[in-house]
Amino acid sequence: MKMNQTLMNLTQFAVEQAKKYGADSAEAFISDSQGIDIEVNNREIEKLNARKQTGIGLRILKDGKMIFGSSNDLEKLALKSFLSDLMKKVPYHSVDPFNIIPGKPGEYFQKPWASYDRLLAYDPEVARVPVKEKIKRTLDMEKAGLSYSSRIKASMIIRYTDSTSVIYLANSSGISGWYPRTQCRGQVRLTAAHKDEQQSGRYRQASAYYHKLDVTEIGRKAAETAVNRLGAKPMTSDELPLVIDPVVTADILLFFEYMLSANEVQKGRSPFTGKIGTAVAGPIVFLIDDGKLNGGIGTAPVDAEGIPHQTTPLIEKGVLKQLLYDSYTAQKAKVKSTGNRIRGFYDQEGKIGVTNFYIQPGKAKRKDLIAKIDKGFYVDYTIGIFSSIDPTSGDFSIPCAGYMIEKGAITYPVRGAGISGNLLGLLKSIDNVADDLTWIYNLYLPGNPNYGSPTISLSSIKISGPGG
Amino acid sequence: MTKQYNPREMTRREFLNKITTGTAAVGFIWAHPAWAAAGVENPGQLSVPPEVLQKAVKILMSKGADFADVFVERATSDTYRSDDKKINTLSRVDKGVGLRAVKKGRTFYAFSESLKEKDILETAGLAADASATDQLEHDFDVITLRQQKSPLKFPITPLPTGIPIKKKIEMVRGLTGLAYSLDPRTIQAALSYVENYRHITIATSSGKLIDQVLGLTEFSAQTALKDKNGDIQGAYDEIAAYAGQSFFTGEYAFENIVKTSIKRAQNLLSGVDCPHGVFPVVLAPAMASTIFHEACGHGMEADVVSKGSNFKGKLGQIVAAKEITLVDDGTLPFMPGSFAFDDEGTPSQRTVLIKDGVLVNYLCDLIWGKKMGLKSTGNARRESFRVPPIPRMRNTYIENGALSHDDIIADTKRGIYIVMPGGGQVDVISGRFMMGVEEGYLIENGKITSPVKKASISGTGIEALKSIDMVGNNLAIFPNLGRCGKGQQWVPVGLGMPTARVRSMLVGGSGPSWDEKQGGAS
Repeated sequence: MKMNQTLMNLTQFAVEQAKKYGADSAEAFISDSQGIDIEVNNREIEKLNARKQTGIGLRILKDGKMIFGSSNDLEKLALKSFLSDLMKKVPYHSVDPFNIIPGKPGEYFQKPWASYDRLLAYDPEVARVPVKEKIKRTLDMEKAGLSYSSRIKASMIIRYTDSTSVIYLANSSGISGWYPRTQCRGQVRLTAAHKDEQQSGRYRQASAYYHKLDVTEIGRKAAETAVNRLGAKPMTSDELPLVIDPVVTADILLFFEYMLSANEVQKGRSPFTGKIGTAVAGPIVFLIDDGKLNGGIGTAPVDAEGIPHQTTPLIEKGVLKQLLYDSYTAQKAKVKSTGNRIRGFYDQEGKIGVTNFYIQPGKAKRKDLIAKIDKGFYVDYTIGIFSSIDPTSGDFSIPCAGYMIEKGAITYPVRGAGISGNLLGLLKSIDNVADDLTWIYNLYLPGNPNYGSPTISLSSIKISGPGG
Repeated sequence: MTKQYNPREMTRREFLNKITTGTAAVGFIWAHPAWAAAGVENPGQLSVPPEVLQKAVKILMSKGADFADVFVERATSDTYRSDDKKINTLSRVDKGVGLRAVKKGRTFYAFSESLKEKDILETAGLAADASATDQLEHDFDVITLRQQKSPLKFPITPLPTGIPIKKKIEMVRGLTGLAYSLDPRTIQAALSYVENYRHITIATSSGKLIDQVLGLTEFSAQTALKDKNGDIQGAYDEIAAYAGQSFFTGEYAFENIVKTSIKRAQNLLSGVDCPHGVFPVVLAPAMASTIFHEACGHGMEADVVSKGSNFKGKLGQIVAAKEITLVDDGTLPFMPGSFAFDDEGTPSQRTVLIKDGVLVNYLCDLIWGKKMGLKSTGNARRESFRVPPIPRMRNTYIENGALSHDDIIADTKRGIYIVMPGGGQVDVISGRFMMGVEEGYLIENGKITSPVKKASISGTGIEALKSIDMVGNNLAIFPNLGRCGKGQQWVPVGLGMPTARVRSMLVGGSGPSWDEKQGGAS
């Protein structure tokens, strides 16, 4: 996807027009994107949806009052009348002294964000590859799963999704620029059956690069988990050391993202409130948000309001060092924004969120973590995790499945387990971190947040199960 | 295929809804200033010229598709919100075209937010190419598009664009004040008033041309109270109709929505712990039918039936008590599940699903209907031009029985009375549900008494339908905003029923055990 000068000019036009209409400051964000969703089933294409989306999101600040609106009618006349409608509404908004459209003229960027090339988060192939080939690739993903074992009986979800976007941003404080980004996603869910038993396995992966998305691995890993799970025995209630698969940690990280948002901390809704500078995790834990990670799907030169992305250590050696800020919360706390305002499409106003958010890998091997445990539980499958954690208190009770660890080795699969505790307690009891950092995108979030974790182990956790 | 039912989640969905005024309703066209000022919206004119629609259909059919349609949409959404006494608005202008080629029951879809001829035809080519199984060009005769007419009209009075912004803000402010004045314990009031406008044009390979203008007005109130002991309870109420503000008077007045929301929070603070056990549950008119929408209605949608729902293969069989007639009706004036034509161009209709306890029909669109050898019942709906339509409910209700509400209550020695079910989980395939209770009361010695808190009900849809033993004559259908989610598409639906008693249902609560053998139905 090429840079479109008309769209770049349109962001400037919108900002200037808003100023003409009396705005104190204004911001225009255009996302121009295209992509495709492909679903196959039983070796044939089942569904296809090709997308083309281009629109503008506008923020206007007047007398301390902020208004947001979005439109995909990019005719200048339509845009002008939309802006004048926003100007009529903004006087009724409530004043908030911390409302801000950031930047001073010339402070941030004079030119397009070209140095971005080095960040490797854009692959022109994603838009170039013909639909037919993408369908074939999706079928290959299913094939890798179905051919893994004769016990694999059916594919439930085989989905390929990609997007190529160019972001254009301009504001009245002098921020102006554009950058492209790409993303390909593969998602597989399969069923394995043996005698009367059925088990499902799932896996997903994303890459900024078309050819780096490993469809064979996605299909195989989903099949492997389904087959390995056959013969699962009911879990017995116990308090045991726990090893957590990266697939599970990636979902838990979503809650740490929420709890580390300066907005939640400032409102006293986060268990991290008042904990800066204190130990909140085991000394082996480093939690980082890196918006400049090479090739990461969350990588971009700037955040949603034009603040440069940075590498932000949030937890270092177990000590809480930093929160995630956008310009609004930074102004409130009299600190600098960490460049963590995110938005997917033009129609979203944006909020605080992560870019490439991960637990730093350690030196140990995954098998070493398991080898140390005499009796423990390996969790790699959760059910309804997003309704099983209370982000305000951090309390959780997560239905899950996994494997028993006995005498330093994984022995048999178990089902019907539940792990419970508090997320802060969980962080504190992390006693080992492996070297196998794995990146997983979030299934339910549009846009680009990227979550990564190695296999980690916990000294102990409460486990419940129907086995008594 | 477990889905979450959470009314609070639904209402955060600002945008996306459905109503139609039919082609004859051109006089009601509600041109948003954003269109009108730009001269892009001429009342009575199609958003895209018919020749372009024709060309797009031809391209979609060119690789051997069995059916194709083009869905053009122009929409605006204006939200006026008050949260924590702070005023906020949200404005959105949206437009685009969805292009669909259906071949051997498979859907090849593409959409573009640009309505330029070049982009529409290119996007049509994408969907067509994906549907190709050979290299051949398939002939498709140029069809004559014939504009369809409907007698259904839902006039929007007054037009939202005719009401000054100031008046709307004042209204929201006034209602916020009301929430705080109704109860000094009010600590939160989040109110939202939304005006939605959609202009939809559909052209199909069978030659249908539909042009309809849709306007949905919504209001919701979420409140929270905090008592002396620091106990906090939140509650909710909402309303939506394909109508202007003049519709929202009397029982539909926005004031009543605020009052109900506060009353529900008060009930949760003062309520008694709900008894538990298996005993009679009396369902109040209107919203209690959410249970049947979730646990029965979804299982009758043709695509869910095909996946093996518990209504599969049961046409002509008894699936409910003989007093039960269940209807899905898209023709009720102003109701949030009504429209003149569905999103494939099939005229809306009143569809009887269960007649005197016997399953007589499913909810079909053209595609799944054909797979099952049934006709479309006009139930194809889509959230927007971004997604293909799927079979969905419209306004679903249980028909009147013969008994009076008072007689049903008086006949119930011990049980609970549910006005509004709350969030929960439903497996639409098996019809198994577990739902909370947002507003419910005890029934003791034939009288409705204290409100209950922390109640839940569970069972399966068919079990519940079969164990209904009394049906009232007071059918009410409430224009609720509760948008129904399926396959990540949200559409507004209507819900209704008369008072009805389920002889026995599993009720959860932290109160005393109420075994049905010790009381209940006499």
